[in-house]
Amino acid sequence: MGFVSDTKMRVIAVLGLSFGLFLPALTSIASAQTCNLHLAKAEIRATAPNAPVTGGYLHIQNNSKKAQRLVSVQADFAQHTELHEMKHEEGIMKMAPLEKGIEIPAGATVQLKPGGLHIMFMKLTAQLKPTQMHKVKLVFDNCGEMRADFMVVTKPASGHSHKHNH
Amino acid sequence: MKKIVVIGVIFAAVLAGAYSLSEFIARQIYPQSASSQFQLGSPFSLVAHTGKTITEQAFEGTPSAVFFGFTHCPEVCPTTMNDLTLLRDRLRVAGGDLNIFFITVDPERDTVAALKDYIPYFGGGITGITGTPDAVHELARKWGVFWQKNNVTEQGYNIDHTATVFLLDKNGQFKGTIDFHESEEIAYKKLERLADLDKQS
Repeated sequence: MGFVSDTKMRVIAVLGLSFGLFLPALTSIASAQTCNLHLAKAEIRATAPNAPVTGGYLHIQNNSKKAQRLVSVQADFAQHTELHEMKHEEGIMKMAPLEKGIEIPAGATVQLKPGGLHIMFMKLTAQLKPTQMHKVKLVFDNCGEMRADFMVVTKPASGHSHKHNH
Repeated sequence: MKKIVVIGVIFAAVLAGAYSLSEFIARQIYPQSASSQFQLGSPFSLVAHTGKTITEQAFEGTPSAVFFGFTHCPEVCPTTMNDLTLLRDRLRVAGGDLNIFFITVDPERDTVAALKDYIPYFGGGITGITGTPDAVHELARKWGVFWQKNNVTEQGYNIDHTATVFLLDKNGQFKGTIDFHESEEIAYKKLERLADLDKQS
């Protein structure tokens, strides 16, 4: 290993520093312009008359190089919505609100499906009947708002997949 | 003579100590099963979603599937109700039958009026059960059902609860359970056995 001259060192340092400062700015602009989030299988569980709550499900595929976080959801038919995670432990069904939202890591697909992550639509203002379509607004921390058409179904797909995305 | 009495007392004390120790160890190793620890099928008097009084006699004559839930439950309750009615319909085609009961763990919000809207949505042959909070909770306790309010906010609350389906035979006797994650086929086999259909083939 030879010694690196002082000027060479300085050039490398300056270059490195400017790249270090410039690159994050560049990538954040790029991801803001093209979010590369793909939404699929958006479904809401049909409800009984005057039922106060229901669950919403979808697959969110993040094709970008940056993690995205679903932070909130809004729908015309619900006065309040939350993001929840359901856990089945020793025969007991437990539900926990996710105050930080749901993260979709870069390059990953997160499935909101029965028995796990879901959108909890609360204080419903209308009965949700099978085959109805409803527009739902999804808010992501970096991408901002996206709208998706959710179909009302009696039995949402449980998303039993043989692929395991971790 | 005195000596014999003293020895007898000591022996009895040792015996009692050994017995309670063995009981203690046995309890650690073999927790009591649901059927012996809890009083499933014990008498009660509550209100059905129709407004009529309902007692433990409702569990007699036809096998029963009993589920504890609440109407503010977004997923496991409607899913279980739908699954049970589909299984019941299959069972009827095969010559069996099943009564389905939905007992609320949320009697404060699940009034008779709320259940009247909710229960018929899942089809006929389902009975919703509510009552005063004390009476409903006493029944849940007897059945060994867990329930706990959580996520209490100004928007309301959720209830963590036992999602097991209890199976009673046509005499109202506890025979087993169906777990939330069990496959449809395993659940159906259990109901077939409950309806004595397995003995006919």
